[in-house]
Amino acid sequence: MTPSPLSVALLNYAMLGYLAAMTVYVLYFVSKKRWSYIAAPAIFGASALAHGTSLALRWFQGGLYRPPWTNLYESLVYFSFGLAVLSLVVDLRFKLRYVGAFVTPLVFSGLGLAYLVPIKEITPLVPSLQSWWILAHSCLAAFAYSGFIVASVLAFLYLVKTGMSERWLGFSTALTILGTLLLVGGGDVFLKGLYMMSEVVFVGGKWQKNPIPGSDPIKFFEISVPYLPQLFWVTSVLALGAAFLHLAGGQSFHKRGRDLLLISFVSYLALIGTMIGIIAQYQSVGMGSNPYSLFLLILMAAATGFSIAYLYRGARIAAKLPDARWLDGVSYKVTLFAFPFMTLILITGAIWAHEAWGRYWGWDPKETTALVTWLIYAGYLHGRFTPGWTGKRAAVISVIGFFSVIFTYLGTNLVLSGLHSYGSK
Amino acid sequence: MKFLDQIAERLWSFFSSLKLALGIFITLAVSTLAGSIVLQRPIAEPGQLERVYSATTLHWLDLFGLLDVFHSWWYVLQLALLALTLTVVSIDMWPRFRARIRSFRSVLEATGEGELPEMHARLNHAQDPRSLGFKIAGLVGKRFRRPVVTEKDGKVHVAAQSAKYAHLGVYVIHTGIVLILIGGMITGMKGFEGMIQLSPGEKATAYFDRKIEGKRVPLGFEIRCLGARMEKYPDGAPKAYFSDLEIVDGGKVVASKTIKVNDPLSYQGIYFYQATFGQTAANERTSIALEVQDPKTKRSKVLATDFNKVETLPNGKGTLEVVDYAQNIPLDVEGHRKDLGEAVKIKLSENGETPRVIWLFKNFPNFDAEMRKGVYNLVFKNFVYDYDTVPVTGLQVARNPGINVTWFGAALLMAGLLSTFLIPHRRLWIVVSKDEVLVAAASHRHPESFGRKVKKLVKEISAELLSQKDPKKVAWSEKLSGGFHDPVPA
Repeated sequence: MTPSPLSVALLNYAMLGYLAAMTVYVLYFVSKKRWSYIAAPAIFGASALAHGTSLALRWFQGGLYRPPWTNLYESLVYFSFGLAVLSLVVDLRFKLRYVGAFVTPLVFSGLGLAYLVPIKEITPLVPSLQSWWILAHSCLAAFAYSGFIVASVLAFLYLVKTGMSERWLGFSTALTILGTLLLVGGGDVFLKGLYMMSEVVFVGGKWQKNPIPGSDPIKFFEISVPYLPQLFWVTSVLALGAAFLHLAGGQSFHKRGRDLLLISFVSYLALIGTMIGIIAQYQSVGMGSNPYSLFLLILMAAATGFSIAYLYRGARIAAKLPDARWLDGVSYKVTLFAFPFMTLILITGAIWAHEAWGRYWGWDPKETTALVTWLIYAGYLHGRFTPGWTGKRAAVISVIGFFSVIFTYLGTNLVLSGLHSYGSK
Repeated sequence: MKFLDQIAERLWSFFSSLKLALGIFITLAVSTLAGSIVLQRPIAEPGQLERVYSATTLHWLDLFGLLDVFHSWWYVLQLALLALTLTVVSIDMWPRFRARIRSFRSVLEATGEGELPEMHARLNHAQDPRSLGFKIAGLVGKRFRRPVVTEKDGKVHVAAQSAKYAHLGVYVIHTGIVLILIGGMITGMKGFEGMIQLSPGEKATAYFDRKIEGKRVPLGFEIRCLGARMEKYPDGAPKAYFSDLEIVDGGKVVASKTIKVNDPLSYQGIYFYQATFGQTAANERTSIALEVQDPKTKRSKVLATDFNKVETLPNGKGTLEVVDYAQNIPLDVEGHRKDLGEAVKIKLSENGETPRVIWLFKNFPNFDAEMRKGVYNLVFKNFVYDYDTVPVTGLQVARNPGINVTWFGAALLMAGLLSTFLIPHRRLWIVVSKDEVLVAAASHRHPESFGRKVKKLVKEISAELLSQKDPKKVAWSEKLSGGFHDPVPA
C-alpha cells in the first residue's frame, strides 16, 4: 500500500520545517535575538506537529494492529519524531534553547536517512511482528533512545562549556575525517583511483533499474573520476598531519594542527562537492552511487565543522551557553527519565522473544548492543556517587552513550546481521 | 588469625568498592560489544563464519575465544563477579542506608545559617508561638501524613517526612538484577532448546537438541500434529502460520491448541513454538509406460509398470522388470558430448534365458528393434514421477525453568528503578520561635520540585496566618537548583 499523498506531503513540509528551525536555532545561539527565542521552538513545534500528523495518517491507513514503526523507513521516521518531541519538551520545560540547535540537524538527518531507504510502502506485517508487543516494545524504544540522545547533547554542551582538551578534540576530529574517508573510499579510490558506481539508480526516492540495457540487475562499474582520488589523498594526508600535530603536544603545535585541520576540512568539502557533481552527472545517464556514503560524508562534515569552529572560537561559544551545573543537572535528569525506558525495552523485548522464539535472551546482536547501551548508562548513574567520576568524566560517558545508542539502533540494521535485521528489508 | 582477618577485610573492601562495579560495567560493555560485532558461532548460519572470515582471521578469533563470547568462562566470570559485587556492596552500604532511613529528627537543633539544609526561609511574626505552631501543623498536615509537633525551650517544632523507605529502592534494583542472573543460570543449566518437525498426522516423542547436533532427547509424552497451514497476503507474502497440536500423555489427550507465531503451546513447562513452515514431498510415485511390439504380427501392447515390478511378456514368453531410470545419458562422441535423453534400464528374460540388462531410450524408439532383435521389440514410451506436497511445520521446543525467577527479577528491577527515580525522601522542619518562623526542607532527589511545593507552603503561611500582603517577598534560599535558568533575552 502506498502512503497517502497528504501523509507524504506533511512529512516533506516537516523536513523543510526542521531545516528552518535549525537555522533559527543557530541564529539564536549566535545572536540571542528575542524573536528567535520564540520563533525557533515555534517552527520546531509546527514541524513536529506536521511530522506527527503524517505518522498518525500512516497508522490510520495501515490499521490499528500495524503501528507505523515496523520497518527501517518507518522506524527512522518514528524515532526522528520521538527525538523532536522530547527535545522540544526539554527545550520548553528547562528553557534551554541550545538543545534544538543540535537536535534539529539530527532529526533532519534521521528523516534524510529515511528518504534514502528504498522501500517506503505500508508493507504488511510478517508473522513474527504480529504481536501486541510491537506496540509496547518499539514505542518505548523511542523514549529511551531520544532521551539518551538529548541527554548526551546536553553533556556535550557541558563539555563545550567547561572546555574540552584541544589536543584530544583536534586529534579525534582529524581521525574522524580520516576514518570517514577510508570507510567511504576504501582501497578502490585510494589505490586504484576508481570510484564505484552501480547500474541501479536511485531516482525519485526509489532504487530503479538502469534504463541502459544490461544483464545483471545490479552491476557495478568502477569509474575513473578526475580529481577525486587526489582529493581523497590530499584530505587524508592533511588530516593525518593535523592528528600528529595535535598528539605531539605543545600550544604552538596545536595551533599549526588546527590550521592544518581547517585546510583539510576545506579539501573535504571540495571532495563532497566533486562527488555530488559526479553523482548528478552519472545519474543523468542512469547510474547511481551508494547514497548512504554521501550521507555519511555530509553528516561528518557538520560534526567536524563544529569541532573546528570550537577549536578556533571555543571560549566565545562557551560564553553563550548557560551555567555548566545547569546543563549537567538537566542532562542527568533526562538520563534518569530514559534509563527506566531502556530497562523496559530490554524486559519487553525479552518477553516478546520468549513468546515468539522460545527463548527470552539469545545473545542476538540487537540484544547485546542494547545491553551495552544499558551497561554504559548504568555506569553513568553509578558514577554519580563515585568521586572522580562526575562532571567531565560523566559527560564523556554520556557522549559515548550517544554513539552506543546510534549503534544499537542502526548498527544492527545496517551493519550486523541478526534476527532484528528484518527491519532493513 | 589476624593475618586472615586482614585478608578478609581487604577482600571485602575490594568487592564493596563502587570503582570495582564501574570496572565490571566497562569490561562487560567492551566484551559484550566484541560479541556483538564478531559473528558468534551459536547464532551463525552453517558456513557463514567461513564465508565472512578468512582462515587466519578465524584462527585468531578462535584463539581469543571471540567466536563464542557469551558462553566463554571469562564472560560468565564477569557476570558472577557482577552478582558478587552487587551483593557485597549492598551489604556494605546497609549501615549508611539505615542511618538515612532513621536519621529523621523531629526537632531541628541547628538553626544557624550555615547549618541549615539547602532550602530554607525565614518569616517574621508577632503571634503566640504555640497557637501559630499548631495552625502551621494543620497546614503541613494537608501535605504530609502525621506531622510531629514538639515543644522545646519555648520553641514549637513542626516536622514531617515522606517516603523514607525510598532509599531502599537500590536494594530492590540489586535484588532484581541478581535474580535475573540466577534465573539465567537455572535456565542455562536445567533448560533446553530443540526442534521437532512434523507433518499433519505425524507424532513425535522426542526432540532434536539444538546444542548437540543429532542428539535426540525424549519428551516424556507424545506430541501430535493434526494440521498445519499458512495464510498469505494478496501479494503472496506470508501472513500467518498455524499448527494444530495435541499432547498425549499416558494415553489421554491432555492439551491441544492451534499455535501460531507469537502464540505457543505449553505443557509441563515445555513450550512449543511455531518456528518454521515449509512443504515436503509425500506419497512419491512413479509410473513407466513401455510398449511391447510383436515384430511378426505388428501388434503392440502398452505395458504400464513401475520399478521392481516383474511383468510377464505376452503369451508367457518371458519376464521384464524396470530397475533404473535416468533423465539423460550423456555420450562422448569423439570429444563431443551427445545427450541421449531419458532412458530406462530393464532386466529382461525371454524364453527362459538368463536375464540380461538392456537400456531403452525414449528418443530412439527403434533402438531395441535394431540392436537386439529379440522376440519382442521394446519401446520406452513415458516416465511419470508424481508426488503430493504436504506442509511440514517446524516446532521450537524449549524449557525455561528459570524464567519465572527472571521475570520476578525484571519486575523488581523495574519497580526499584521507578521508585528510586520517582519517589524522593522528603523532609520538612518548621521552627516557630518567639518572633520568627523558620522553614527548612530537604529532598534526596528532585529537590527543585519539592522546593516549589515548600515555597507554596511558605506563601500560604505568610498570607493566611501572618496576613502578609506580599508573600513574594519571602526570602527563599535555594542553593541546589534555580538561578541557572537561561535568562530570557530582553
